[in-house]
Amino acid sequence: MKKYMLGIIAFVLAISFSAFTTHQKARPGKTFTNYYEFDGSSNSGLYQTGDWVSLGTDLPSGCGGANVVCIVSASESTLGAFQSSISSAHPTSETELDNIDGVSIFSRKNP
Amino acid sequence: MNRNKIYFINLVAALFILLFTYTAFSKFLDFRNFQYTLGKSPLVGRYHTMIAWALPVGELITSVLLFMPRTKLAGLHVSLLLMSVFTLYIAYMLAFAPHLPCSCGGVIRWMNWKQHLVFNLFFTGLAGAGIYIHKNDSERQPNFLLQ
Repeated sequence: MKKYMLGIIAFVLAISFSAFTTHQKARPGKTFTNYYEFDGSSNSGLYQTGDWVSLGTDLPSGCGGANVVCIVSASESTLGAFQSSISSAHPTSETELDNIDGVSIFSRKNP
Repeated sequence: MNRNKIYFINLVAALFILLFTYTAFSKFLDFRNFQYTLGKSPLVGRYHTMIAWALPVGELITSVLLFMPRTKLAGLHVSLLLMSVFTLYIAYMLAFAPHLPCSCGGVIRWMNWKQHLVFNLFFTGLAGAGIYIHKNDSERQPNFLLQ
């Protein structure tokens, strides 16, 4: 029994840790294909609708620069609808942005 | 000396059990997210559904191998193989697609690619050290882990 003790402790700890880890909300399936890029310089300005640009439905190639949110994927199919969500939620941080229904952070600059 | 070696191997095995079980359960608990992120990978995106299932299942099987004294060495070999594959994947992502998020499970997803590479290299080394010590001692004293 003694030789199993470390393994049992490891299993119990792993299951406990995973149960208490908060997960990002799940991405909906095939409707989740619109990408929007944030052109602002700081996450505190994520609510500024004019700094968001539509990238369409193709997989974005990437981004570089400061350590801010770069691209999000969202269920809204038009930039106007997406900007309206941003405007009403008024996000000023990555967490607030990610908490908006149908919006998920896809990539960050300098990950 | 032997007692310390047995303790070291059991500790390495326990660390891998903790790592693999934690990440496997985290992947299952957040499965749609994990599958989605994996699908964006330029390297494995085409096979993301199959890999999304195979990876956590493989990690749990490896944990069971590491748990049983008779299969501990096999578990360490599989761990070394898995960690080497993960490390190569991270090196590829770091070189060719650093803007993409990690499809890892649990809190490990919040590491950046460079931190993740160091983390994986550490665990790869740990698996290698465990195999080396296990082989060295089991040649002199077969089944020494079963005592």
